[in-house]
Amino acid sequence: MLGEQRALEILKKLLSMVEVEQAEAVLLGKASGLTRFANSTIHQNVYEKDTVILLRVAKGKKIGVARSNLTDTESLKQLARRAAEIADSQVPNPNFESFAHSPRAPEVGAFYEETANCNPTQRAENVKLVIAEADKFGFLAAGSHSTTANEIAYANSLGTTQYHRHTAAYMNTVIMSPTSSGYADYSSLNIADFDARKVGERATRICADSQNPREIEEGRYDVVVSPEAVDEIMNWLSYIGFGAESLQEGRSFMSGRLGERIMGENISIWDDGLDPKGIPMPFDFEGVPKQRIAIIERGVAKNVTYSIITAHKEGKHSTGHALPPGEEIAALPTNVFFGTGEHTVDEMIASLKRGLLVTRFHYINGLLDTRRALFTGMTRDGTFYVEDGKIKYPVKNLRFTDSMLEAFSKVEMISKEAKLQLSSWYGANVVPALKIKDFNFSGKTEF
Amino acid sequence: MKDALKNVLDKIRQAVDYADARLVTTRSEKILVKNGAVDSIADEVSRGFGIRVIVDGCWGFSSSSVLTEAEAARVAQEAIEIARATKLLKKWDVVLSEEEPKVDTYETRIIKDPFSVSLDDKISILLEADRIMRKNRMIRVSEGSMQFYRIDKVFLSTEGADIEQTIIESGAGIAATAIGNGDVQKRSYPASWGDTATRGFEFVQEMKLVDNAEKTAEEAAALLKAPECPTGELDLIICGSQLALQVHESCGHPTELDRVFGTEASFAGTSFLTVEKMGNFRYGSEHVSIFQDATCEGGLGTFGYDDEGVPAQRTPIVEKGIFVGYLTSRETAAKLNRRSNGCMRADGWNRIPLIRMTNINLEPGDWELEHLIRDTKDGLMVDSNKSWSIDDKRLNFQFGTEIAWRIKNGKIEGLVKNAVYTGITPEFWASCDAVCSAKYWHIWGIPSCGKGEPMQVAHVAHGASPARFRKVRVGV
Ligand SMILES: [Zn+2]
Repeated sequence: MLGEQRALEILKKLLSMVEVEQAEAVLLGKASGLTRFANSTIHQNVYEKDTVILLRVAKGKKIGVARSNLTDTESLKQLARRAAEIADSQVPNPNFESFAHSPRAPEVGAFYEETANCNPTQRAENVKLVIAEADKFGFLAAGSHSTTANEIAYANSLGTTQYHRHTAAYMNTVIMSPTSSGYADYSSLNIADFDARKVGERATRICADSQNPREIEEGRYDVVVSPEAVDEIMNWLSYIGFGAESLQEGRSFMSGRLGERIMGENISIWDDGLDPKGIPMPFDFEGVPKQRIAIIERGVAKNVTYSIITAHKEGKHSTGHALPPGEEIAALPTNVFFGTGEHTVDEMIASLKRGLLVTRFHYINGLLDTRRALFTGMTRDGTFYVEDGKIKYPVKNLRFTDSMLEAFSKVEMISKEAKLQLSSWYGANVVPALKIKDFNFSGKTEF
Repeated sequence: MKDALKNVLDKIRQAVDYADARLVTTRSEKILVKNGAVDSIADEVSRGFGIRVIVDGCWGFSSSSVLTEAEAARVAQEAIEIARATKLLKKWDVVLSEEEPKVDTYETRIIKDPFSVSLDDKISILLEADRIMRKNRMIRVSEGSMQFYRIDKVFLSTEGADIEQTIIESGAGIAATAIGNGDVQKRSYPASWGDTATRGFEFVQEMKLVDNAEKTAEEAAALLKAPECPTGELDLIICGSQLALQVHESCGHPTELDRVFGTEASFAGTSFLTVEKMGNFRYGSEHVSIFQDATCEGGLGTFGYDDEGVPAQRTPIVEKGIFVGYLTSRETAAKLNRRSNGCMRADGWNRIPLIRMTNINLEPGDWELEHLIRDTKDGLMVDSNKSWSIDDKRLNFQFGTEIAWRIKNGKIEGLVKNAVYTGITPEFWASCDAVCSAKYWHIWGIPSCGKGEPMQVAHVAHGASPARFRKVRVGV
C-alpha cells in the first residue's frame, strides 16, 4: 500500500504532465494472497502486488483513456502522451460536460491490519481447520482462501481528490464424497472474524446429508434458496438491469417501468456504498461520492445507478456508481442490500409442503430474455427434497429456467439474517435466504 | 530484466526442486463504438514478472511489477516462503513430466501490425458499419468493437529453458439491437464475441464489417416479428460459431486434466470425463473427432510454447467418437505417466499457468450445408450464441442462440426467435450424424474464457463447421 499521501502525489505529478483542459487519474493498488486447496491438500499458493494507474483526459468533449502499471516518471509521461493522442483521434462526446467537482467523500473504516498482514501460514492454518472437518467423514476438501488489501486514490484537474482503502478476507469450500458435495463460504473485511472450522463444518454436513441423491422429476416446486444462491441471482440482475445504460437503451426489465410494481411488495433492493455491513466504498471511479440508491422499493422499480455521462443523458447527476473507464458497463451498484424479513431458515423449511431446499446455484445466465429477466442455471452442492416441513432426501441437480420478476413476485418468506457475499468483480451483495413459490425447474442432470 | 531473473534463478537453484520465471509485457488497445459515437478508446500496458517454485515437493508463487534485480530476489524468496506454507498440508510431492529445456524464440506471423494502423483508420471502419446499422429504423443500439493485443514474454527455468515469444492478436465485431413490441432482439457479426485471431490487422479487414452491417441490422429487426422457437424434439443444425461454444463448454473444459483431478472443484466444478474413461468411453458418434491444436496458423489459441516452456502440439481428444486424450500440464501428465501436451497458459505476469484450451477443433466432415438442409425433415438451424449454461460436471447444458431458422421437409421456412436447446453432453454428441466440409470450417476465437481463482481470462479458439444433431430438445 502506498498510502494516501504518496498515492495522491503520484496522481498530481501525472496530472501536471497533461496539457489538456481537463484530466482525471485513478490509482488502484492491490496486494493479495490466495491459497487454493483440493483433494485435502494445497495445490496453489500465490501472491501478487500491483499498482495500476488510469488516466482520462478531455480535450473539449473528446476523451482519451490510457492505463498502465508502470509508475516511473518516464512511463507516466508516456501515459499522459498516449491519453492525449487518443483524445485527438476521438469524436466529441455530446454528453460530456466536465469531470467531477466533488467534495471529499465521508470516510468509512474498512481496512483491517489483521487482514492486510495475513501471511500464507495463517491461511494454511485456516485451510487445515476445514480439511479436519472433511476428514471426520473421510471426505475430500477443496476451496480457496484469500486475503486482500486494496487502495484507490482519485485526483482530477478540478481539484477533486479522494482516497479509500479496504481489506477483504474470503473463503469458499466444496467438500466431496463419492456421491455428493456440500458448499459453504464466508466473506469479511476482517480475517479476525473468521471461523474456518465453522465454514468446513457447514459444507461437510451438507455433503454428508446429500449422499446418494435420488432422481426427481423436473417441474414447478416451492423452494427455499440460501443467501449464496440469491447472491448469484443478484449479480445477474445488477449486470442486466441496475445500471443506467440498459435502462436507457430499453434492454432491461427496468426499462420504461420506473414507478411500476415489477416484484412483490416484500422486495426491497438498494445500494449503499457507506454501509460497513457490505464492502464499503465511499466514492466511484470518477471521484463522485456514492449516494444511497433505492433500486426496488416494496416491489416498485425506483431507480438505477449512474455515471457522469449516463446521468447527463437524462439531465441528472451521477449517483456515484461509475466503473473504471473502458469497462463494458458504465455504472453499476457495488454494495447491494436485499431487505430482510422476519423468519429463520428453519421456519422457512418447516413451512414447505412439498418443495426443494437449494444450497447454491451454478452457472446462471441472465441473457435469455433481459426484459423479463429470464434466467437459467443449475443447482449445485446439496439439493434436498422437503415434504410436510421435513427434509426427506437429497436429490440430483436440476436446471431452472424462470423469470426472476415472476420469482421475486412469489417470495413468501424472507430470512431475518442477511449474509455478506463478496463479488468476484466489484464490491459485494448482502442478501437473505428466500422462500419462493412455484419456481420452474426445466431439466435435470445425472448427479 | 531478463538477466536479473536469470541471476536470481541461478542463486535459488540449490534451495528449490524447480523454479521458473516469466517476464511479461502486455499491451492492449480496445475501441468501442456505440450509437454513432466512439464510446471509448482505452490503451493499456501491464508489465511484471512472476516466479514459480517447487520446494520440498510443494508449489509457491509470487509476483511483482517492480522491475529490479533486488525485487526479483525478494519475490523469489517470498515464493519459497509460500511453498513452505504449502508444505504444512502436503500429501504428496509435485512431480513434473520430463521436458527437454528449449532455447528458442517465437513470433506470431502477421502481415500488418495492428499497432501501426492509425486509430482514425480503425475508428472509421467501426463508425461506417455503425452508421449503416442505424439506417434501419428498428435498431435502437448499434455497437462495434476492435481489440488488439501484443504480448511479449520471456520464460526461464532452472532446467535451462530460455524462450522469448511475441504474440499478436487482432479482433473485431459489430452488433445491432432491435427493440419493439416489448421485445429486444440482438444480432451480431461475425459472432456474438466478434472474432479474434493471432493475426495482424489484415484479419479485421477480411471480416468486411461494413459490408455485413446492413444484413446484421435487418436480421435483428426481422427477429422482432419472428414467431417463438417451438418446443419439442427436433433435428438441430448448429452453425459454426455456436458449435464452437458447444465444443468449448462440453469438450474443452471437461478435458482439462487439472479439472478432472479436482483442482477447480470449488469454483466452476469438476468433469464427467474421469481418467478410467480415457481410450474407451464413447463421447460421441463416429462423425465426431476433436483435436487440441496450438499449432494451427492464426488460431487465437496458437503459440510457440506454453507457459511451462512445452512446445505447441496437435493431439487427439476425441477420435471417431471415442474419448482418447486430455489437455495436460507437466504436473498432471506425470500422474498419467505421460508427457505434457503443452496446454499451460497464464493470464499475465501475476498469474500462475493453469491448463487452458488452445485451439480445440472439431474436424470437418464432408457434407455440403445445402445438402444437409435438404436432408432434414423437421428441424431447426441455429447460429450465434446468446446465452450459455452447463452443470458443474459438464453434462447438462442449455444454450440460447441469437437466431434460428425453422426447417421443414428440406426447406428453410423462416426465422424463429428465442431459440434454446438443451441436452446431456455424451447423448448429444452421440446424436451427431453429419458434419459439414472444410469449405465451411473456420477457427472461431473466444477471448473471454474464465477459469481459476484468482480468476484468469484465456484467449482460446475452436475450429468448427456446421453439424447436425438428431432429436434435440428445443424450447424451454
Ligand atoms: Zn471457458
